[in-house]
Amino acid sequence: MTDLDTLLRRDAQSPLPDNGFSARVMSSLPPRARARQAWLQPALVLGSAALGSVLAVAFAPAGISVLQGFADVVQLRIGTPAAMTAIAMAAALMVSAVVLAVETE
Amino acid sequence: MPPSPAPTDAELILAVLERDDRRAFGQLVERHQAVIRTVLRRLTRGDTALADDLAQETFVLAWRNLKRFRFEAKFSTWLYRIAFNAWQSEARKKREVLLDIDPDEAPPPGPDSSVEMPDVASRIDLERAMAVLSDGERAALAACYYADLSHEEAAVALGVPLGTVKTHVLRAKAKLKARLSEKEPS
Repeated sequence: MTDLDTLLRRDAQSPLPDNGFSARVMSSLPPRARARQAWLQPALVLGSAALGSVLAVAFAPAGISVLQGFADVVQLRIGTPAAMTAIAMAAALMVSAVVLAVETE
Repeated sequence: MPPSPAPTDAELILAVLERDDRRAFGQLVERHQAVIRTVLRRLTRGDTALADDLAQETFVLAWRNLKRFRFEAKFSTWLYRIAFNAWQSEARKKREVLLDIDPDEAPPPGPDSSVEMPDVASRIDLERAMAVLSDGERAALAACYYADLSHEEAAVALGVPLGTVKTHVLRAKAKLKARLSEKEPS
């Protein structure tokens, strides 16, 4: 006589012949995606952010200083062109940081 | 010189991740194929062809997503979760899988699992008896007995509340006991 728990566990542990199953699985495995270098992703994100910042400064209207922009933001004068340029740069860096944090997760 | 012990699952997984070692993954497949296929055979009501297709899909998904494996859990538990998901996806293509219970349906009286079953209850009898269980009951039983998960782990793996798993297991065992007892020779 066998109790039901034993019967179920015995059934679960009873051997099942492979019959070529493992070979079928191995032949159907796709090639593994090559792992990217660990430093590549952060370098791409930070590089893009830095390039965007440089372009923003290079193409900003004449007479606009990013440092002046940050000074304006500190003084809560966020409507000036310089302040908006500084905010845009800070936002780009912030987005990069968020992307990196999510990717690291 | 004593033979070197068989590598652990963790060592084989690291070999796959670090060296792209297919032979190591092959060892993992050979080690776990029997239980995964048995679980899926019970879930698919003994449809061996479908069960083996789903088992193959399970291992291919494991291969693709191995880097997401967290070494906090057992590799077998992780595989069972993939297998359950594969079964649920397949079953949903055909019809709705009801893993939850009808709240109006009262749970059955708890079976006394120590009640002994006749020895004539063979594997085939058990397979046939399990085929009459509902999807949720079979899934809960497969998770707790075949995949050897705790009730809590089964609830997570199946995506149902803990109480539902417990009720399904009780109900399934009551049905199995009744079904298998019918076969007892008088």
